[in-house]
Amino acid sequence: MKRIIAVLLAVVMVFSLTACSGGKAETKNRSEEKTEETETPSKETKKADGASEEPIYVGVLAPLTGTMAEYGKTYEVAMTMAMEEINAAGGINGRELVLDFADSKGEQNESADLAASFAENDKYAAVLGDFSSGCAMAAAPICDEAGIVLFSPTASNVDFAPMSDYCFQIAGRTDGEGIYAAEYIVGKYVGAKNIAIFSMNTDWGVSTRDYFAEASKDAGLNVVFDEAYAEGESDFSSLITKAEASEPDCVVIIDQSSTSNLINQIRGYGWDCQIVMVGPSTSQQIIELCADNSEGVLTTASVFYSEEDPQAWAFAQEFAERAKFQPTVMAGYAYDSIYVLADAIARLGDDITRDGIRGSLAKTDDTYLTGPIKFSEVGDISRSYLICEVSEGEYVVRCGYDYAEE
Amino acid sequence: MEYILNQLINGVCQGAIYALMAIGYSVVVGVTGMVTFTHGEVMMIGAFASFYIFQYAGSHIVLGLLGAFAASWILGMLVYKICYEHFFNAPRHISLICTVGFSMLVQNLAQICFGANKKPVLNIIENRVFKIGPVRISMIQVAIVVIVLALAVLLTVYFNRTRAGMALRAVSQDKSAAYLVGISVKKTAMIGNCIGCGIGGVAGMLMAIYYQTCYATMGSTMSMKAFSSSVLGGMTDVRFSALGGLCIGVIENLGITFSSASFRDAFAFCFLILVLIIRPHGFSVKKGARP
Repeated sequence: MKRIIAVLLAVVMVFSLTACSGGKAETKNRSEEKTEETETPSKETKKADGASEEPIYVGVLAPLTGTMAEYGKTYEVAMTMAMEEINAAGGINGRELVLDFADSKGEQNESADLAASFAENDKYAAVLGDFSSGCAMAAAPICDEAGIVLFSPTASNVDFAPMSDYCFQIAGRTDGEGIYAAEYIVGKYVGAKNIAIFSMNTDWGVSTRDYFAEASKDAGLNVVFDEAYAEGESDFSSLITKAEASEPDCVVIIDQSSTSNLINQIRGYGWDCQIVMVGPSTSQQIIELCADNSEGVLTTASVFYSEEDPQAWAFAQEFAERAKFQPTVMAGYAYDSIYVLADAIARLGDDITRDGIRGSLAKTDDTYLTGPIKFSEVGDISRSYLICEVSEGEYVVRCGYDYAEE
Repeated sequence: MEYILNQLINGVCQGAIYALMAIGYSVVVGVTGMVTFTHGEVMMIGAFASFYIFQYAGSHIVLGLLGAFAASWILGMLVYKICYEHFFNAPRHISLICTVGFSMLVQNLAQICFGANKKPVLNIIENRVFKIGPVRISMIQVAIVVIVLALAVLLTVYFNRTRAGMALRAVSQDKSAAYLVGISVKKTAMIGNCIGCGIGGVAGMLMAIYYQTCYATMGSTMSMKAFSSSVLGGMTDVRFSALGGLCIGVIENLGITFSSASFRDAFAFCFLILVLIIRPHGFSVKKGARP
C-alpha cells in the first residue's frame, strides 16, 4: 500500500512538472512558429520582388514565459499586428520588416545576454524591449557599448532613458501619473482640500507616492492621512477607520495589486467618499472585482480605446481577438513602438545604419495610436493623461488630454 | 474614544476569522499529533468551493457553508491519506515536510485550474451598516462573529457530549491507550483531521466574503496567523486557540491604530514571542498537552 501511494505521488508530481513545463514549451514553440511564419513569407516576397534587398531585422526582448508571460504575449500580439500591417503596405521603403522575438523570461541576466546576442549580430538594426524597467536597464549598458538602439515601449523608470543615448522609451515616466493625479484630478477636477493617501510599500509605490505628495503640496492640498502598507495586505479595516477619523474630502489609492480590495472595504465600511486610483489605469479587473462599489471612482489613462476613436477601437477589437484578452495601455505602446521605429528607419532612406537609426528616432515628432510622440533630450516622453470615471459598470472619459491646459 | 472602539470592533472581527482558522488548526494538530502546513490551502479550497456555489446557485450562505465544509473535508481526507497515515510511527518531520510539499502542489494546481487572477465574491451578505451610538458595525462583521461563535459552541458540544467526540479526545490524548480501549485510531484520527479541515474551509469562505475576493494564494499568509494563534493557545486546545486568534486580531488592529500598517505582522509576532517567553505553553494550562 505504501509503495503504491509512493508511486502514485511520484506520478502526480511528475505530471504536475510536465504540465507546467509543457505549457512553457508550447508558448516557446508558438513564438518560434511565429518567427518562422514571418520569416518564410519574407523569403517568398523577396523572391517575388526579385529585388536583392534584405529584410530589416529587429530584435525584441520580451518575457514570453515566466511570471510576466501575460505581458510578453501582449508584446507578441501587438507588435506582430503592427509588423504585418507595415509589411502589407509595402514594408519600409520596400523592404520587409522582420521581428525576432527572444524570451527574456522577465529576468535581468537573461535580458542582458539576449541583448548582447542581438547587438553582436550585425543583422539586427535595433532592439525593442524589454518589458520591465529592471530588465531594460540591465540590457542598456550592453546596447550602449555596441551602439545599437534599445527602445522599450513599456519601461517607465525615470532613470532608464538617461542611461544611454541609445535608450528610448514611450510609456511616459513614473512621475507623470502621480503628479497629474495630484494637480489635475484631486486638485482641479475634484477640488478637494484635505486628502488621504493609501500607498503600497514597494519600489514603485514609494516613488509614486513621493511624487504625488510633493505635487499635492505644490497644488496647495492638505494631506491629512498618509499610510503605506505591505504588498499583499488584505485587511484594511483599521486603516480605513483611521483614515475616516481624519476627515478627508478625497481618498487616493496608489497601488498595483490591492486596489479592488481597498475600494470594496471602504464602501463596505459605509464610507461614501470620492476615490481616486493611481496605478491600475482603466483596468477591467477593478470593475469585475468591485462591481457597484467602483461606481464614481476616478482614474487616469494615457490611452483609452473607445468606439469614438475608430482607429484605436479597431486595434482593440483585433487585439482582443488575437490575444483572447482585452488590451491594456501596454498593448498600445507596443503597437506604436513598431510604427515609431519603422518611421525612423524609413526617414533614413537607403542608408540604414545603427547610428543613423538612433539619430532619426530621436527626431520623431508625430501622432500615433497612443497620442503624440516626441522624445525629450534624454529619450523619454511625458505622456498626457485623460481623466476617466467608472459609470454604470464601465470607464467613461470625463476630461480630455487638454484639460491640463484649460 | 469612539475611534478606539471602532478599531476594537475591526480587531474582534478579524480576530474571529483568525480564531476559526486556529480552531480548525488545533483540531487537526490535536487529533493527528502532527503539525500541518496545508491549512492555508484547505482554506483556499473552501473559499473556491463557496465561490462556485455562490456563482451557480445564488447567494445562499448556508449552501456555501456546507459546500466549503464538504470540499475541505474531501481535501482533508487526501491530506490524511498522503501525509499522515503512513507516518504515525515515523519521525515527525517526515509528515511535516510532506504537508509542505502537498500545500505547494495544491496551490499550483489551483492556479492552473482556477486561474491566477482574483475572483470577485460580492454581495453575498447584504451590506448594511449599523450605528449603535458612536460605534459602527457592518452586517458582514456581525455575521462572521455569529458564525464563528456558533461553530465554536457546536464543536465544544461535539467534543464533550458525544461519544464520537470523546473518542476524538481520547485519540488526541494518547493513541495507544485509545487503541487499547477499542477505539479505531486511524478512522478516528481521519475524521478528526477532516473536521479540522472542514472548519478551515468555512474560515476560508468567511475570509472570501469579508474581503470580497478569493484567489489561489490567499491561504499562504493567513495560515501563518492560524499557526501562531494556535501556538498561542497551546496548539491543541480549541478554546484557547480561539482566544489566541482573537488576541492576535485585536493586537494587530490596535497596533495599526497607534503606529503604521507596515508593522501589522511585527505587532502580532512580538506579542506571540512575549507570551511564549512568559508562558511557554501558551494560554493553555495543561502541561504536556502539546504533541
